[in-house]
Order: sequence, then C-alpha cells, then structure tokens
Amino acid sequence: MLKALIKKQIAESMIRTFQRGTVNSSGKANRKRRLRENGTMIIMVIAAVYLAAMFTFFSVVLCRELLSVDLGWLYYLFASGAAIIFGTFGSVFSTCFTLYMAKDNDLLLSMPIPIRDVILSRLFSVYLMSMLYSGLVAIPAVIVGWILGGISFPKCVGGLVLVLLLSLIVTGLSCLLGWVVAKLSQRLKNRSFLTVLIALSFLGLYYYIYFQIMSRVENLLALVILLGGNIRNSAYVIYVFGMIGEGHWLGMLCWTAGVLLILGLIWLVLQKTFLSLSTATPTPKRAVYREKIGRRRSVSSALLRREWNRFASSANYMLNCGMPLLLLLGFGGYMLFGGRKLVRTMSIVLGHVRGAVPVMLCAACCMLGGMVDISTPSVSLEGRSLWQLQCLPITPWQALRAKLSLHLNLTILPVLFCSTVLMYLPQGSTTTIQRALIVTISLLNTVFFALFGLFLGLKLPNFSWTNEIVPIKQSLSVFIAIFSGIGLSMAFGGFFVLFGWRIGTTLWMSIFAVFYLVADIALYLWIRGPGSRRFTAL
Amino acid sequence: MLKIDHLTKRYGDKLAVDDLSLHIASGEIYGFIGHNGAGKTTTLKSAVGILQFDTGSITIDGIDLKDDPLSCKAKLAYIPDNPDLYDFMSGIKYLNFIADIFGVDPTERTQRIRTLADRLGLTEDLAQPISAYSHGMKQKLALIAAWIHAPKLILMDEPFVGLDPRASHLLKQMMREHCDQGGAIFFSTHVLEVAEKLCDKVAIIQQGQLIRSGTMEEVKGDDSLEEVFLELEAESC
Repeated sequence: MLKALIKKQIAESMIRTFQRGTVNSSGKANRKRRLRENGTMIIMVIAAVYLAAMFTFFSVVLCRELLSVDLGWLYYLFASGAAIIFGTFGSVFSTCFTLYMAKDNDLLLSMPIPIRDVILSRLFSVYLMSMLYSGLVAIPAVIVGWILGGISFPKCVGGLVLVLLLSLIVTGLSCLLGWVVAKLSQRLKNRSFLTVLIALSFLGLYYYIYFQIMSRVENLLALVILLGGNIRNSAYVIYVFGMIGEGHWLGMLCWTAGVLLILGLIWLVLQKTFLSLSTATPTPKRAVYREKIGRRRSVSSALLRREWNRFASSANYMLNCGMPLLLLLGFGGYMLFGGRKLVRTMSIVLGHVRGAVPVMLCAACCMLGGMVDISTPSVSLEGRSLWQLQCLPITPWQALRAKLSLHLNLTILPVLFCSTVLMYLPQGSTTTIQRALIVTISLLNTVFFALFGLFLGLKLPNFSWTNEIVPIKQSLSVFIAIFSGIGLSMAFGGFFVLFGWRIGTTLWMSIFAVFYLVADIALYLWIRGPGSRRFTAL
Repeated sequence: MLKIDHLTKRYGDKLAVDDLSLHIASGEIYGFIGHNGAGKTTTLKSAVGILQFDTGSITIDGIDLKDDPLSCKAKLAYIPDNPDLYDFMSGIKYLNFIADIFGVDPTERTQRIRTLADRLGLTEDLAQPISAYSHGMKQKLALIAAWIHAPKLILMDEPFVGLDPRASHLLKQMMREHCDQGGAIFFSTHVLEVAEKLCDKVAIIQQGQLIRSGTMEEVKGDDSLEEVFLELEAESC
C-alpha cells in the first residue's frame, strides 16, 4: 500500500517536471516528448551543478578563513545555517500544499488506506524536497570541509550525519511552518495577503534569530581568541552541532537523538491533526452580495483585472514570483540611505577594475528585476479553465498582453526606483551616459524577463497540475526563468570584471543595452505571431 | 445559425470526427447523442473555436469560424461538461468579467444577473468565491454567464449533469425560451429521455461519424429514442 502511494508521489513529481498539458500519441509527438524530457534533464543537471558550484565557491572562501584560525566547527555551523534557510524557504509552501492541502486528499481518504500511509507517502515527498534543497548547500560544504580540512573516519561519518540531520531538520521545520500556514489560511478572509504577510514575518523572524545567534557566536569567538575560550559554556548546543562536521561522536549522537525526538513529536501531532486539517472546509466570514451597477470595463482592462485577481488570490504566486519586488524596494531603500558606504567599499574591492562600480550596481538591479517571474507560470496557471479564454471573443494576443501587462505594471516602478537610486551613487569618473545606462538596462532587462517568461510559459506549458505550486514553483519554465535572471546579470557583471573592462564601461553597457533591446523586440514579435498561434492551439 | 460541413478532426493517428455535417437553424434545440468517446465534445469544441479542426468548415450565423473567429465567438456561448471556472474570483466578479468581455451595458447586465440568479437561486452566493461553490452551483453560474450576453447560439456539453431537479427543469424552460426568441441551442447529452422530450432535432454520432440525424420523429419513428440508439449501437458492433 505504502509503496504504491510513494510510487504515486514520485510519478506526480515526474509529471510536474516533464509532462505537458496536451497528450498526443503519434510517433512524431513521442520523439518530441523524449527530446523534451532529455532536454529537461540536461537543464536540471546544469542548474544543479550551477547551484552546487556557487555554494562550493562560497564554502571554499569560508572554509579557508575559518580553518586558518582553527574554527572548523564554525564553518560547519555557517554552512548548516545556510542549508536550513535555503531548504526551509525552498520547501515550506510546497510542504503545505503537498502534505495538508493536496487536491487528491479526499480521493485517498475515501479509499481503504490507513491515514498513516497517506501521511508517510506525503512526508516522503516532503523529505525528498528538503533533501534536495538542503543538500545543494550541505553536500558541497561537507566535501569542501573534507578536502581543505583533511579527511578521517570520524569526519567522514560526521559529514554524512550532518547532511542527513540537516535534511531532517528542514523536513521538520517545513512540516511545522506548513501546518501553521495551512491552519491560518483556512480561517482568514483575505488569506492570500495574510499568508504572504505571515510568511514574510516568519522569514524575517527566522533571519533575525539566525543573525542574532551568529553575531552572538562571533562575539563569543572574539572572547575565545582573547580569553582562552569559554564558548562551549555559552553556546554549547550550537557549538556541538558545528562539531558534528568535525567528527564529534557525542555531538552526532545527541543531535541525532534530539532531532529524531522532535520529528517523533511532529509525527504524533501530524497523526492527530492530519485528518481534520486536510478535510476542513475553509470557513472565512461569508460575504454578502449587494447589487450595484458598476462601470463597464474595456476588454484589455477586464483581462488585466482578471490577471490581478489571480495573482492577488494566491499567496504562493505572490511569494514565489513577486517576492523580488520587495527585495527591489528594500535594496533601493537601503542604497538610498546607506548606499554611499557600500559603493565606497565596492570601489576599494574592485579598485583594480576600472569603471566596475556602475556595471555592478546595474547588474544587481538586473538580477533582482530578473528574478520576478510573474509572467512565466501565467499560461500554465490557466489550467483546466483555459477553455474560457479560448472561446471568448478575444484574440490570443489580448490574453497574452494582459499577462505581460501585469508583470510589467508590478515590476517597472520598483525597478525604476531602485535603478534611479543606483544611478546617483557612483562617484568620480562615472559619466552621465553610464548613469543613464543603469536605468535603461534595468528597464530593458525587466521587459526582457517579462517577455522571456511568457515565451517559456508558452513553450513549456503544463495544464495537468493538481496543485498550483507546480506551475508556480516546480516547473521547468520557472526554473529556467529564475536561473536565466541570475545567470544573465552575473554574466553582465562577472564578464566585465574578467575581460569587459578592456573595452570600457560605456561600450560594455551599451552592448548589453543593445542586446536587451534586440532580444525584447525578437521576443515581442514571437509572442505576437507564433506565440499567439501556439496559445490558440494549446 | 450553426452549419458544420464535412468536419474532420484527428488527434495524432486517431480519427475523432469523420466528415461530420450538421445544420442547426434558429429556433431549434438540437440534441447530440453518442457513447463516451464518440466525438461529441470534439465537435462542440471545434464549433466554438477551442479546437482547431483539420478539414471542413463551420459557419455561425453566416460567418466562417476560421475566417473571423472573433465575430463568431461574439455570437455564441459555450458551457463545457465540467465547468472549470475561475476559482480565484467571486461569482459576481466572474459574471462582470464575462459581461465586460462581451461589452454588455452595466444596467442591462445588472438586470440580467438579477433575473437569472433569482431564477436559479444563486443570488445569495454571488459574493462567495467560486472555489467555495459546489459542482451544481458552478454549473448554475456557467449558465448565467452563458445567458448574460444574450447570445444567438448556445452550445452545451452535458448541461444537466450536477444540476438539482429544480435547476434542470429551469434550464429546460430557459432553453425553450431562448429558442422561442429566435436563438438556437446545440447540446450533447446521455439522458435520452430529456433529449426526446426537449429536442426539436437530434443527431446520433458513433466513432466520429454521424449515423442518423433529423427531426425527432424522423430519427425515432414509433420507437423510443433509447431503443433506436441501442439498436444503432448494436448494428455497428
């Protein structure tokens, strides 16, 4: 029974990643599907390697520094913190919808399946997700620790135990936070906005506690160096966790026992509450209908409003695809008040690369703007209601334009604010043209990712999802969109430092501006022509 | 009102609709009968412009669907077998959205919503999110949305599934009223008794091919529609 359920969960995950909305059994279609599946696999491997490489790079830098002062345990502690943050934030909403709010809960519960098996199969899925996210940080960190710090049998076991414990901790945290989100979301009227608020509060609180602990540990470290070390007395539990990576047997035993105990408690709570939570009907306050004569909207306005309603009704959509908007505003605000100091530091660090500051500032704005992926899942989110757009008297372009408009309407202003602040920050040799290019490239980058997201949504649609988190977060198109956003801006900044500075800042920025402009036009023409036809045929 | 000429539609190697021709005139309720997978939904979806067909032509009120799909779609309404509406909207927001797309005047739409929602007993629930609706309520909302812009032609796929007896009775009345006012209705159903009592004309489709069509009397003669349908099924097996 359990095996069959786990198989179903795995099959669902595979479908999420590989399957398109339409099914066609012809030989040509099968060949196309195989090609797409292989392509998907290759892209996912590249993305995983890319992420692992990024975390390996950070691990090498951190490990070298901390090993030089004999603080290997602190290195493992930092790496663990990063793995927990990355893992929990990556999987909490998926957990909520996989474990508590899955659409097939009713179906499974109506079958002669023990509830325990349903929970276990769902937990298996959650664990895989937690393992994937935390492992991307933890595994490179442990390997780097082995290479730079030397390998021994206890360290080898400690590293493996650490990776395992981190995945379990992330699973436990995801279950708890997911439970809170599911519980609250059933009782609130404007639950999407409140869920976003709650999620952001959790995230803020988590970061606050994490940095408080870290600053405390750092302070204690200074005391250790100065006074001969009483860190073990002040933050012993945390210290012991870090020591697991160093092969500390007692630490492994205690933390494993502690984590298993907490997971056992979570398991008990889950068994008690799963049925009531997964079968509960949301009971927000009943809205009363009052007849009123509204105003008539144009077709464009009605379609845009429909897109906004969808965006605002889903906490998942807002958090996963719109969160960078807050980061843009936050970054812009921070740079407005504290940017000069940061720019001075950048000038010192990048002193040997002439004219790097405006490029780096622009790349930062582009990276945040490129991470907004509202348009990417918008096609797949039509799901089973796609028939409505197809039988209404509207052109495909009108429907697609509304999706683009929502992305651009929400993104342009934060990008404009952020880039305008950044434009005034560089001092010295930065020219007016370079300042103008910061804003221009940032805006063209925003348009590019709105169009590129829609292009991916049309090329890789998935209408067969049972959980909206699939098109929003777990689809290949979103995966490509986010990594392209990060990759392109890193290429813009990174390649300048490597060789671009030779041709000069203005020319380098101009090349990227032209690239974005040409790409924007090409994508726009594709969406208006072949893309619209593709939308009709979906 | 709706003219389907030599319609053919394939899914890969599978022939879903094979050279099907039908003509539905104004004032007619036209029933479409066939076993599961016979090609009813494919025909309906092709007629509303959701599916692209391979050969043949479809004209609505004299306008070719392929030449001018928007004008055709402006004249029709479609209700699928499982009305997956926008769960993220409330009932009233959904109706206003549909009315905006079809350019229905605000005063007129308010009046129509009042009349239709009262008739179907949905007024109290119009402010609720569609995600909280039952299947029957969604079906009722889809009916109001279909009628809100006073289309000339209404196409429905299994419209009676999920409706309570009162709503089913009302729907039959609404269908008749619509056709009496010069509209046309083309709908598929498995409920042969309903088809027999309600339809002016009926078509029976089997494995994508039209095997019999015409007025109810022409199709069934002195037998019941059920007997004729089962007989035709047996002949082909």
